[in-house]
Amino acid sequence: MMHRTSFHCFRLGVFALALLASAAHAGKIDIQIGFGDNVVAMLDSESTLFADAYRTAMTDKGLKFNRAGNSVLTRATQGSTVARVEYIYTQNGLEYSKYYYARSGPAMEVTFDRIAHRAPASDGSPGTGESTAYEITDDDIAKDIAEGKFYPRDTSRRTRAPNLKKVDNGVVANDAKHAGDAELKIFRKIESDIATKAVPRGGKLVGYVSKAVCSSCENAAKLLAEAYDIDGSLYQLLERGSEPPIDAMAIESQKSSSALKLRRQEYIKTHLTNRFVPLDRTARVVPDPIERLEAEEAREMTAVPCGE
Amino acid sequence: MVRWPLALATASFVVGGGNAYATNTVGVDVFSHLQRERIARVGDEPLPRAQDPLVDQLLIEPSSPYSATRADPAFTNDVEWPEVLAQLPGRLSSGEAVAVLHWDLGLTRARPGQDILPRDGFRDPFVGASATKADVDADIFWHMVDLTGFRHSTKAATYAVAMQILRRQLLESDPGRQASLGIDGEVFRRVMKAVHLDQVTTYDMEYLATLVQHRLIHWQVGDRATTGARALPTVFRVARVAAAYRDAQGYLNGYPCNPAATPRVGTAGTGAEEDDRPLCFVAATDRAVHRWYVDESDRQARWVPEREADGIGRLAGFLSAVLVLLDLAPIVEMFEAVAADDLVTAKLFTSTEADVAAERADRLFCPLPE
Repeated sequence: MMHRTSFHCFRLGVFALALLASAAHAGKIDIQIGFGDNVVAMLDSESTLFADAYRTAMTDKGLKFNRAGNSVLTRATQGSTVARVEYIYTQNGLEYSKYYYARSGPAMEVTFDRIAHRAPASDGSPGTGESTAYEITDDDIAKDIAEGKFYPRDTSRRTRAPNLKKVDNGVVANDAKHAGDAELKIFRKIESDIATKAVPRGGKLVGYVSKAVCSSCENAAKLLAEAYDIDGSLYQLLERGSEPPIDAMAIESQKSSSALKLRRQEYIKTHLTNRFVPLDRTARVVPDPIERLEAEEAREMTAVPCGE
Repeated sequence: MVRWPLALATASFVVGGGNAYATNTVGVDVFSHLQRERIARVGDEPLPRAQDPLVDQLLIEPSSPYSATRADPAFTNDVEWPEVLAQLPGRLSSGEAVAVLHWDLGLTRARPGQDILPRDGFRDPFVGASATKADVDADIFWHMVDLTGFRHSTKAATYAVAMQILRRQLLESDPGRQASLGIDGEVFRRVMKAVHLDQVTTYDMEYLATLVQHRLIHWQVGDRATTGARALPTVFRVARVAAAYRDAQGYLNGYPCNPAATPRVGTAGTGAEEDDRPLCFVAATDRAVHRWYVDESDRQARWVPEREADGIGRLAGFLSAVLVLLDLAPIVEMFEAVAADDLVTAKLFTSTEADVAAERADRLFCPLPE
C-alpha cells in the first residue's frame, strides 16, 4: 500500500499537472434546474438505499430508539440531500459509464452517537444535544467507509461516494460547513477514481441533486471540470420557499422537490420504526425454500390491515 | 415537457385503433371517489356487511379467471351512487364509470377483435392483443425478449414496459429539456442497439428498473395509453407483456385457446391453485393473468445459474425490488377494494388516510406508532 504522505504528494502532483494540462481546454459543469417524474424517481431510489442502510445498520446493531431518538433519526434521513451522477467516458474506442450516489452528512454511526448522547429536555422537546454543523473528523470518515457493508456492493460501474479524507488541494469545499454535501462527496470520489485510474479524465458528467447546489459545491464543480477536463451538467431541485420562483421551470422544480420530500417522508416513516417488518427483497433471486417461506410469512404480516 | 393536453381533463371518446371494448375514459379516478364517498358517508358508523366485495360485484363469475364483467353491479343501485357520479369530473354515465372500475381493477380481458384491436408486428393476433393492451410497441417487445431469451421473459416484460415508458417520454418531451427532466435518450438508444444482455450497462438496467418501479408505486390514475384507451395500471401491463411472450413461445401440449379466443376445455388452465397449466391469456382477466405472472416469475427465478452473473444475474438483481412490488401491487388493490370495508368498520381509516388511498403503495406497509 502506498504510504499516506507519498499518496498525498502524488495526488497533489496529479492535481497540479491536471490544472496545467487543462489550461489548453478546460471543462465546464453547468448547474441547471431539474424537474419531473424521472428526476423524482431517481432521487427517491437513492434515498431508499440510504434509508435501507440505516434500517440494516439498526438491525445489525440491535438499536431501538425512543420517540426523541426517532425524531433525530428522521431529521437526519429526511433532511439529507441525495445526489446521483453518471460519469460517461470513452476507453479504447468504447463508451462506458459509471454512476455515483451519495447523501449529505456524516456516517450513520455519528447519527447514532448523537442520539445516544443527546440530553433530553425536561419538557420532552428534542433537547439540545444534536449538533447542527457537521465537521468531518478522521474518525467519522473511517466510520463512513466502514459502513459500506450496509449498502449495495460497490462495483466498477456503480459506487457509493462516502466522505473521503481531507486534502488541502484538489476538489475541496471552500466552506467547511459544506464538506459533507452529497454532490461534493461525488466530485471527490470521481477525483479519487481518476487518481487511481478507475476512470479516465475528460469524461462527461450528468447528475441530479435533491436540493439547490450551494456556492461551495459550485466552486468544487468548477475545480473538477477544469482540473480533469470534464464537461457536463448538474440538475438541481429547488425547494419550495428557498427563493421566489422566477419561471415555469423553477415552479415545476419546486413541485418535484415537494413530491420527492413526500415520498422520502412516507418511506422513512414506515421503514425506520422499531416495529418494522422487512420484506425479503432477495426472495426471487435466491429461491431457497426456507427463504421463500420466510418471505411469504413476512408478506402476510405486511398485508395485515393497519392496527390489527 | 409537452404533456397530453387532456391528461388532466376528463375525456371520453374513441380515438381509433388499439381498443375495441376498452374504455377511453381518462382523467378521472372513479375508485378513489367511490371509496372516499363510502368513508365520508359512513363516518364513525360501522358499514353494513351485507354487500359482496366490490370486485365480486363487478364480475359475472368471480371465481373464474375468464369471467365477463357485470355492467350493472349491485352498488350502482345504492342511493349514494348518483352522488358519486355527480362528484366525478366530466359527467360520466354510470356505465362509463363502471367500465373505468373494470379497467383499473384488472377485470377486463384481451380477446382480439372483441376487447382489443391488435397492432401490427406481433406475428400473431393473440400475442398482439396482449401486447397492444399493455401498450408496448412491437420492436421493443421483440428486442427485449431477444436480449433475455424466453427463459427470462417475465424480466423481459418488465424492461419492455420500462422501455416503452421511456420511448413515450422521449416522444412527448422537448429534446432540449430532456436532461432537466431526467429523460435519458441514450439509455433507450444503447439498449435498442445491444445484441446481447451483457452489452446493456448496469446504469441502463438500474435506470429502467427505477422508471418502472416508480410507476408501480405512483401510478398516474386515468392517463391515456398511446392506443387511445385508458392506460392500464403498470402492474397489469407487465403481466400482459409476459403473457404475450408465453403465447409467442408456443405450447407443447396444445394451444390453450380456441381460435375464437375462448379457453380450450381440457387444455387451458382454470386458475385453480393446483392447476399449473397456462391460461388462455387473451380470454383471462388482467387480474388472473397477473396471478399467473407471479407464479411464472417465481419459476423463472429458479433458472438463474451463477455463470450468468454478468447478464441475467444483474438483470435479476436490479429487478428484485421491482418484482416484490409487482407481486404486492394487486394485493394492495385488493386491500383497497375488498378490505376497505373492514378498515372503515374498525374506524381505522381516517379521512386523512382516505386522501392517501390513491397512493397504491402506501398499503405496502402499515404506518406504525412510534
